[in-house]
Amino acid sequence: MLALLPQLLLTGLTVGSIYALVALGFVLIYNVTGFLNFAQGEFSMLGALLCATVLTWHLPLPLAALLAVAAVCLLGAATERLAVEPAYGSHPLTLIIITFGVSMAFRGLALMVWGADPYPLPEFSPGPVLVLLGGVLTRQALWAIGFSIVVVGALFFFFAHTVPGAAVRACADNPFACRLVGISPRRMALFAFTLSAGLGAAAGIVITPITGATYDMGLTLGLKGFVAAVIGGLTNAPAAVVGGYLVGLIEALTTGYLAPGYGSAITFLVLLAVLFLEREGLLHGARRRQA
Amino acid sequence: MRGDRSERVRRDQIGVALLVVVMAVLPVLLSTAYALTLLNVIGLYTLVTLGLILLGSSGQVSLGQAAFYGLGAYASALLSKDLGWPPETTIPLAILLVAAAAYVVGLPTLRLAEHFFVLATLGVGIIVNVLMVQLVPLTGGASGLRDIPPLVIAGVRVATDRQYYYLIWTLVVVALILARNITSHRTGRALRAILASEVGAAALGIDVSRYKMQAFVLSASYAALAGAVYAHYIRFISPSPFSLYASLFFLIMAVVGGLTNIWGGLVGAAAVTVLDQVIRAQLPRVLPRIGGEYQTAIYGILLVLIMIFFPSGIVRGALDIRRALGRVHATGRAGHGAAEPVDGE
Amino acid sequence: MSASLLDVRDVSRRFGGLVAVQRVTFSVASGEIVAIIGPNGAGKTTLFNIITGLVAPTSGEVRYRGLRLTGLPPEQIASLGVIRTFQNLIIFSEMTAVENVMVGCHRWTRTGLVDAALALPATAREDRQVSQAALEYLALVGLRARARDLARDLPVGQQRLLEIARALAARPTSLLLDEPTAGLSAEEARHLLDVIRRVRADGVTFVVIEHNMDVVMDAADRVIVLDYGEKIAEGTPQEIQRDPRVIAAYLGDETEDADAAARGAGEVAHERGLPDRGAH
Repeated sequence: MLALLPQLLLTGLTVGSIYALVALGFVLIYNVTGFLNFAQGEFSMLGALLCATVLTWHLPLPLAALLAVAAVCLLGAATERLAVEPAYGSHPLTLIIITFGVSMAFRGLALMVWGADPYPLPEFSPGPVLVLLGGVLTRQALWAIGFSIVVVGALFFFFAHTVPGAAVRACADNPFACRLVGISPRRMALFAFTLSAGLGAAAGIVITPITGATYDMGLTLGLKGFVAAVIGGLTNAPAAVVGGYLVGLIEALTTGYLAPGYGSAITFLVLLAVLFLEREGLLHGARRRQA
Repeated sequence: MRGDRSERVRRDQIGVALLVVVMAVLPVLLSTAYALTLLNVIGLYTLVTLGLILLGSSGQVSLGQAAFYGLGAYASALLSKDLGWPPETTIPLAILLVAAAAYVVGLPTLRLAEHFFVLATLGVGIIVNVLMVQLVPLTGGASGLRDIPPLVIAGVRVATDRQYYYLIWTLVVVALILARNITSHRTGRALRAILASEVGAAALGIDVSRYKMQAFVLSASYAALAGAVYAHYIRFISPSPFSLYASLFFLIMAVVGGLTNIWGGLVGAAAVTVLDQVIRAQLPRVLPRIGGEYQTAIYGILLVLIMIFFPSGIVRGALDIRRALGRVHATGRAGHGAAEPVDGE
Repeated sequence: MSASLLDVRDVSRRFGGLVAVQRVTFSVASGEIVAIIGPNGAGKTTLFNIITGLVAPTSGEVRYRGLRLTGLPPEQIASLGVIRTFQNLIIFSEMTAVENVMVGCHRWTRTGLVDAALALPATAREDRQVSQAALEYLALVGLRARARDLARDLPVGQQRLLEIARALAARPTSLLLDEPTAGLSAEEARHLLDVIRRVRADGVTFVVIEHNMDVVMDAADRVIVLDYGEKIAEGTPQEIQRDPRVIAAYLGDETEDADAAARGAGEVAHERGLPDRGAH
């Protein structure tokens, strides 16, 4: 039993790093707009599948990945402008349902374009696996973990030390004051969607050499990303990253030690537990927003 | 104002009367097995969607509605199959069990703001579906439960599509009347106030959590009723019709019909079920290469478009358009430049 | 102290680094009309939010008839008879004017889900009673003619009157009005004052946030002045008018600005130009 543990922990960290990236996307959009973008997971799917397609044009992998991320950024911006923006100011439920609609649309369109079969991507740096504490770690897993750490660092730097980053933070704190100093909250929302889409796409591309890319991968990634973001309290980026790793570990451990089929059920039990424990705090925030 | 209210009451009464007449005559006109089955499915979906609309009337959206639908089906099926209890007992019992389950789920989650509640119901939906697949000794796993006992009412075995048709649509009419009554009177006013502003409602002494809980338990009960009847009608159940995908499907029905309009349940269920049939029949001709849940794309786009252009559903949307056209027409005739009175600032 | 109805004791509230309300203490006696005045961002609305349970105080407590309100949810505070209106207007815009006021009657009516579902005779009786009462309250504020109009179709001034009618329909023991005359014409405001006096004669207590000094001077028995979240003065309207600190707060003299800078609260000064923080 215990011999399995290192392997499970490494697997958990690998998928957890991807969940962390997806969770960051949620947190970014939530901080700026105040609602959850339920289509977040689809950006990862689109990134992975687009990258696989661009790769067939005989472009080098880094260029293909870059092109795919850029394309998904555009899709993210289009999502905000075409689907979300027209509904600002309506009942919060409207926005929630719209992002669900967007996610279904992307999933269905992906099925039409790419079909149901999984697409592979080559490892970024092929080579023998590493053995760590009795567990096996693929080089791609190192890429995933490393990438998530770099992105978190970059985001932290961006928000703490750059002017546009400070603008986003200001906007999240007080949209009214933001308008006063000439920053449009609408533009910030557009920016948040674009950046989140890019983050999601990158996450999807990094994980695909390990898992393969399918049209429905966004659903699972999105759901796990939510749980991670909610565990982290939704507004706190570093906490969301920790949430991502936690979800990855929980999933790996339950899959390893319990029946494999229960993985997602356990993840959502954790979600419900977190929601239950945090309800006072969350409720309080909600009341203030509504007043 | 009295006239206002009685006008609405009369409109609803006419609606119910019309529904009863149409549904009584319909099987005479359409008597193919396909048509009857389709109508039965629409009836069951109307019940499920009505539940979502009661919930929507309290300002909530659930993505776990298919789970309650499924729980109703499994509960009644298991009680009647394994314990040998008669379905006419197990159906109400299943509803009670599901209502209790919804209460337990609602206790921690209904206090959450909108999107957290949606997430929580999504989580519950997924957990329930996983359990249906995994608890093989109890549920039969992915291959499901067979040979569910048929329904016997007053000594008459309900078996044919036609018999189920009358049973299901009687339930629909009763459920519709109940929903209409609940969304009127003091309870209905409180729900509408909560929908408009929870803070404003609470400031007038309305116990927001309590009303939301009532709406949630009721919405689950409606789904459970439909599920239990479905189990004894089809006599075979498996986890797949109760997945997240089904929950989304029900949500689309509610959104198309109008999330807070009780007639929307009927309209949404009918429109989307028929649309689904058409898509399934026609799309492969246009795009022969693809299979699976390709229609998701169409539903997704439909969802976005309706929420942007007709957030109150197509019934209200159509009425609004007609009214707006009428107004333009009227002002055009009167020769006024500005059509709309300026509304405050 | 037995004469006081509402007791606000040493109440403070911080939002992040911002102090919205700072150790405010006052009491309101039964049947009084108390005005709360102060510049924008002085913490008036936050104070209302604390009294009515929308915002928890960081420290201090609020009591009503000796009962501790702090910690109770808003609906329970409302059901004790403490009813409020909102500075930024919360009306149920998709309901008609009369339906809005009928919602106000919620507090003293009783039928529930089962009565409604089965359309028991009690519900019809109650509906008749409630719609009758609602029309009377609409008539009281002069909106009888607009009873059947959707609330969102009313001009802002009438929406404010509608919100007040709805609050009156709750049959409050205390009514907290947040800028009731904002957006009203002079005539409407005068009429509203008559209504307030009449309702007060029936024993209802009023706490009113008001900017219109004529209204304050005319109607208030007592005035409380807030500035930067602190109570800086309290007294009769005449006393307040002569109070040098109040004059300074409104005219904003130099010592005051220096004071703010010394507290390192550039944000506070910035906030003064914005609507009340509590409203966000």
